[in-house]
Formats: sequence, C-alpha cells, structure tokens
Amino acid sequence: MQIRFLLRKATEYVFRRKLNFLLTTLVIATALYMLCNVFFMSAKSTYYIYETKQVFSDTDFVNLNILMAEQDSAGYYDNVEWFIHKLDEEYGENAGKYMFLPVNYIQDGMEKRENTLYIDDDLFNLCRVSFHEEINHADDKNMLYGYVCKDKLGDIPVGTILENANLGTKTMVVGYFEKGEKWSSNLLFHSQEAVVCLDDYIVSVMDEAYFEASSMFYTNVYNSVYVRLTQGEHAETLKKEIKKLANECGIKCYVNTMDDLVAEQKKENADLWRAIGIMLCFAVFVAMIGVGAAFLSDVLCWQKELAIMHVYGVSEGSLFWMIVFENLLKAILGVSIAFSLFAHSLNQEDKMIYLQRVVPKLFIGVVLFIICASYIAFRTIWHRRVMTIIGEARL
Amino acid sequence: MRGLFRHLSTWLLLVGIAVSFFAFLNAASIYQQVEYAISEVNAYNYKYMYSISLLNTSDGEKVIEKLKKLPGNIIVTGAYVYLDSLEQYQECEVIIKQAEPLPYMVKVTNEAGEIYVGKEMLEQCITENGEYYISIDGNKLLVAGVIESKKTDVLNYKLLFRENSEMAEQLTKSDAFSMECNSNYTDMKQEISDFCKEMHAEYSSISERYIEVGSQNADEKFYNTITFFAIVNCIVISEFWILRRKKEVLIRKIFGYSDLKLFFLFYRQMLLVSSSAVVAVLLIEACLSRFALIDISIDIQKAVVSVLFVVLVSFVLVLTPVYKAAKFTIDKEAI
Repeated sequence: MQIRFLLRKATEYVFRRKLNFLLTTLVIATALYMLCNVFFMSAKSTYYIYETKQVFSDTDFVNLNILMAEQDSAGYYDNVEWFIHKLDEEYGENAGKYMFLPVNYIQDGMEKRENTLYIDDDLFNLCRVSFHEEINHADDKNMLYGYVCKDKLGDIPVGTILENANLGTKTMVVGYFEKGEKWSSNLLFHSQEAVVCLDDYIVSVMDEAYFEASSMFYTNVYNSVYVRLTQGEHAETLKKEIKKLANECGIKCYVNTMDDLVAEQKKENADLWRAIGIMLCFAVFVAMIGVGAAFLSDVLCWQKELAIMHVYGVSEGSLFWMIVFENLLKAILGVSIAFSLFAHSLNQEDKMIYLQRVVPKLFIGVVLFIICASYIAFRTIWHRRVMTIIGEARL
Repeated sequence: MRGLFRHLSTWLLLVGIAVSFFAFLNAASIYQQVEYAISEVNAYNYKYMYSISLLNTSDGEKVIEKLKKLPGNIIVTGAYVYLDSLEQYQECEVIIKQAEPLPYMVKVTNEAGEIYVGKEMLEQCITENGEYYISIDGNKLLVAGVIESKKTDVLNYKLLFRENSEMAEQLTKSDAFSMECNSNYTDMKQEISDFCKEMHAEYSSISERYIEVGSQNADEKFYNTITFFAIVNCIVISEFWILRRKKEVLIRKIFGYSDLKLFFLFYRQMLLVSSSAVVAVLLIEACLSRFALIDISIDIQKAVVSVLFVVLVSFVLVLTPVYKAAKFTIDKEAI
C-alpha cells in the first residue's frame, strides 16, 4: 500500500513536470557520458597490466629476464643452458619456460607454417587457458603433444600428427582450446602487445630438440622463464636464491615478481597516471556538484507538495524514499542513455574493456551517489519549518 | 537587487554556473596535460609506425605524389642540413604530409614559418621583430614553432621542416628516400604494402610499445560533453530560481511589469550571479595554481572567455525564466 502510494506520487510528479524531468535526466546522462569517457581512459591506460595478470592462473611466481649476450662473450649461451638446467634441478616442477616460434610442419605430406607456443609441461597450469584433452597424451611418450584452437580443428583435427620439418620431432594434436584464449608475450617488459591471442597458434609441450640442436635457441626464452613459489615460501628469499644461482652460472638476469613489475610500471608512467588522476578528480567533481545541484533544485521545486503531504501524515521515511525513487527513475534513464551511447561509439575490443572495467564501477557509484544526493536534498528541506515552506513568498 | 543572495535558489544557481564555468574553462587544459603525458610515456611514438626505404628512383615527384595519398603522417628521416651558426651538419626531418597531430607539443610562434625547432636549437636562432629565424645552408628560415618536451631531451635538438618548406619541395628532385609512415588511428599496412610493391621499395613495421588511452576522438567527446553539460545544468537550476519567485512575478505583473521589463530585471540579476560565479572560480583557480596543486594558469585569453561566458550564459539562462514567467497568470496561480 505504502510502496504503491510512493510510486504513484513520484510518477505523478514526473508527469506533471515532464520538461524538468527530461532536463535533469539529460544532465545525468551528460555527466555520466563524461565520466564514462574519463573512466574509460583511465581503465585503458592500465589495461595492459590487467590483461597480463588475467592470463595467469596465479601470480605467485618470479620471472627471470635473462640479459642478452654481450659481444665477444663466448660461451654465454652455454651458461644460459647450464643455468636453466640448474633451475630445473633445484626447483623441479615449479620451474618452467615457454617460447613463441613460427614452425614449418609436415602434415599429411604437405608442408605448412604454423605459429607455435611451446610451453614446458610444468608450466601448463600457470596459463588460465583451459585445454580440452580428447586423447590421453601419456599414451605415447615418444611424441610431443599439443592443442589447437577449436576453430582450427577443421584444418588440424584431434589426432593429427605434425612433423617438425627442420628437427623431425612429431607433435600429436590431443585436444583443443576455446577461441579468444591468450598468453603473456613479454610480461610487462617493453613489447608492443601485452598478451598474444592464441587463435592462430598451436600450443605444444616444449620441444627440447631445439636446445639440443643449438644453444642459440635459448635467446627465445630470455624473459619467459618462471619459477613458482611453493606454499609459505617468501618471494624475496626465492629471488635471492635465483640471483645467487645466476651469479654462479655467470648469467646476468633480472628477477622480478609480478608486483615488482607493476610497481615499476607505476613509477615509469607516474606522470601519465597523475594527469589521468587529475582529470578523473575534475570530472567526478564537476559531475557530482553539477548533478547534485540539479537534484537539489529539483527537490526544492516540489518542497511545497512534500510539506503538505507531511502535514497529512506521510512519514519522514516515506518522503525520503519518494525522492529516492524519483531520482532513481531519472538515473536509470540517464544511465541507459549514457552507457549505451558511449558503448556505441567504441570498437569491439574497447567495448570489452568498457564493460569489464568501467560499467560495474560507475554503476555502483551512481546508485550510491543517488541515495546520498537524495538524502542531502531531503535533509535540506526537512530542516525548514513546514509552514515556512508552504506559505513562503518573497517580494 | 537587494537581497538577491538571500535565498538558497540564488546560491544554487551560483554553484551551478560556477561548476559549469569551471568545467568549461579548464577541460581543454586538463585534457591537454593528459595528451602530453601520453606522448611522453609512449616516447613520442605513434600507434602504427612503418619505415620505408626507397632507393634509385627516377621520378621523385611521382614518389611524393604517391606518398601524399597514404594515410597518416609521412616524414622523411635521416636527412642532413648545414647549420651555419654551428658550422656543422645537423640531422633533420621533413614532413611530406601531416594528416594527424604530431606526437609532441609544438608551441607555434608563426604559422607561416618553414621549420619547427627543438627547444635547445633556439640558441642557434636569431631574433628579428619578435620572430625567430635560423640560418641553414646560407638561407634564413622563419621558425614556425618550438618543439618542447618536459622530461627527455630527445626533442630538444630536433629540426623538422614543414610541408610548405623549400626543403620539402626539393625532395621531388631526390632519388632516394628513407621515411616513416605513422598513424595513431589507422593501421596503413595494406596501403604501404601496395605502395612499396608499385615503387619497388621496402618497408618494415617499427614495434614500439604504445600505451593507448581512451577511445578514438576521446578529446572531441570530452570537450563536447563538458560544453553540453555546462549549458543544460545551468538551465535546470535556473528553473527553480524562477519557480520560487512565482508570486513575486505575479505581483510585479499586477503592478504593470511587461515581459520585456521582466527580461531586463532578470538579465541584470543573472549578470550579477554569473559574474559572482566566474569571479569565485577565478579566485579559487588562482589559489590552486598558487599552491601548485594543479597546472592551471590565468591569462588574458581566459579573462576574455570569462567575460563572454558571463554575458552569453546570462542571456541564455534568462530565457527559460522569462518564458516561464510570461506564462504565469493570476487566475491560475493563487498568491
């Protein structure tokens, strides 16, 4: 009964002052559009970090960025090989590496070139990619196993044996992964793309024959060696141990956790994030004060009706919820207009960032703001004497 | 006018106008600071960058003509000119086509100039009638602008010839080109590939990390939204201002006030409210910039904009109240 009364009164008011309702909705929509724009800028500027974190199933690891060999440093690659073997010995299944390579394969007598991501067996569960295995890969120990994107199963069906045209090793496709899966390219180190989409890749278990053929292939794993932390192990301790091992092997390398790299990025891009922060504050300030003032003036426009309702026995809470309902109605319209218009102006990739990173935060912010602004507006009129409101005239 | 600020509605209107004016006045400079920060983070790179090298061409004019049809900014790199003041050769770049803004801040000194110079190269320039000139290969060239960077000095020694320069025209006689084709908006790989096939040139993609901020035309969206917001917000608040004065308007009407007279009355009051809002904003900004919280400066241009804002906004804002007041009738509205 009471809810029906509140809804009826709020709706009545909306219909009575259509123009004002539309204009206030327009103010909300414009302010939200501006906030969408600014929040999207902020989200996009850090999206590469978010995207990188997303490809890992957990970020409790240290990453090794082995420095390139200097000129006339003979035997450096052998040292790298020794170092990686030592890591394997020391950390066992917690250590692993990966590499991206375009590989010439022979499939049914035909040679074809396919991009391949080689991952150490132990590192597979560090990827968030979900692999669907249709043939048990443990059946044939002499053959490598791999996965293709579901969309490529027409060309390379499960069970296909791909022969490496250069090394002669064979890889059997034992399953598939869904379209749109990603893997880290350079883990926040200087690179054009933060992550690599695996749609065109064959993901295979690491082919050690490359390193046996030439230690030069270790250049492909320069920043893709990972050591996972065991439960209770401290990252700093692990970093120290690995640095010590690197010194023993004569290897120069950086050892970082994900947090180290994110902190480094924050330091490097401090000016940009400061500028975006100022813009965010500016936009939030303008939107909040602007919309707040519009709400307040709107509530003040029907304060006389509210006062009369109060005289007739409508409770304080009911009047407050009446204001909230009316403002929520405007907000729902404003949000729909602003969110959909802004989404419409984005391309597919940006739309995903917008939906993932901007919409939820803004939506929660809007709801909280509406309730707070309604409360402030309500308190502003509540403090005044009812008869003053009803009989107010100014000359 | 007396007692104008006595009521909450006037204060609300003042806050509304002040916020709108603050947004309108500072949106551009705040956005620009973000743009400069992006350029620096991206080391003045573009999102899509290709280098093209073209050797032993017989018809430079045709090459330039074809290059101008490619999208993005086309810049000849690795050219050298003789700098008279230093008596040495200096590396320079020549713009063949500029379709997008340059990725660094250029403070334009003279639109008609031929060359942009880095901040440090100003020392090699001579000043005549307030204009900068630089002497290259015995020719005195008018400087069009100064390239500035806050953090690094990579741009400080830059010499960048503009499309309209004699240097750019001389390229038509050249038989070898080393260029960069850059864009922040479109990946022109296909166009470049076609061009290279036709001209027997070679191209390669320059892979540099590029942190992208915002969607395409984010700047335009930002300015337009702010302006629209500023206007609509003021109109909404002005409605309460006049609604509250319904009785006053009716009494004035009884005493013979015409709509025109009401208009001038409200316009005068609105001018006062707008001026107060603008002055308040300018004072707050002066305080903020004094304590270096944000990089906001107040100059003549801003002062002119402020006055224009006051006059125009007051005019626009007074239209709704006057329109509403004109419709108030004694038989409908009980006093």
